[in-house]
Amino acid sequence: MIQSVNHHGTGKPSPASVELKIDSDPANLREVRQRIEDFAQAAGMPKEGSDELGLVINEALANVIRHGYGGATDRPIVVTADLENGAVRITIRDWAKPFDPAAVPQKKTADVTPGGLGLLCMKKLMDEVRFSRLSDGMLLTMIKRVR
Amino acid sequence: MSETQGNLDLVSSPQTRGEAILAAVRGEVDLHNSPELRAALLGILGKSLPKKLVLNLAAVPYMDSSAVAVLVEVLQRLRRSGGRLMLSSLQPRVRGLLEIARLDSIFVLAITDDEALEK
Repeated sequence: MIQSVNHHGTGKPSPASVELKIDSDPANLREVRQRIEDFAQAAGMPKEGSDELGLVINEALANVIRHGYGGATDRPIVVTADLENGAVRITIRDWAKPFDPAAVPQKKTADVTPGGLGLLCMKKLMDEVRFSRLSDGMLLTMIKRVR
Repeated sequence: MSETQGNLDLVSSPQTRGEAILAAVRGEVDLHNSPELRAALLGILGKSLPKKLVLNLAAVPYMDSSAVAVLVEVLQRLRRSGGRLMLSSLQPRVRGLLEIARLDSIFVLAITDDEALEK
């Protein structure tokens, strides 16, 4: 299930921000990454950049589903995207157990794991990544410049 | 959709070419359907471990790290028996992910199936 809200700026055909409320079901990954890629492209981001953004969001959500929610498919996740100072800002909010990215061991390439590779993608492809531990879950904020 | 039908959708029926087995993967692969990819590929290896498995990825516009982990598992199984995994016809986005993971030098990549079969 995906609930979405698009906030439009004055006189602008493309949304100024997007909010997607989803269940933690891997079946939702494809639509979420496509919606965020579309938002980034509408904001002027080249396709290569929006492809990278889609991959990172996929990996971040997969980490929440696998590690945060232990594979449960009915827990809430909220994804937002907006534009700020020429950059796309993504937030991913969950209500899962706390996640410490520093605790994920750096894997050798030959025994790569999805979680470790996801973090590697975030570090390599985003301009800023910030994990905030909240009282009842986690908030991941990622920023990628449009150009 | 049953798992069997899903496997058939995601991975084509394998073809034997000498000591190699050739199969094609179709569609986007992420955490939702990477278990199907794993089941299909391990099913191919379960019948007989080939000297070479060539996976054509021309029809895979996107894959995530869960799919890459499946490929790494298949690679390791083949290596233990002296076999090799070759990936052919990668789309740029898939190749880019392998480069980020620094796996592009661990898999044998080929432009075409014929090139993969000859390597």
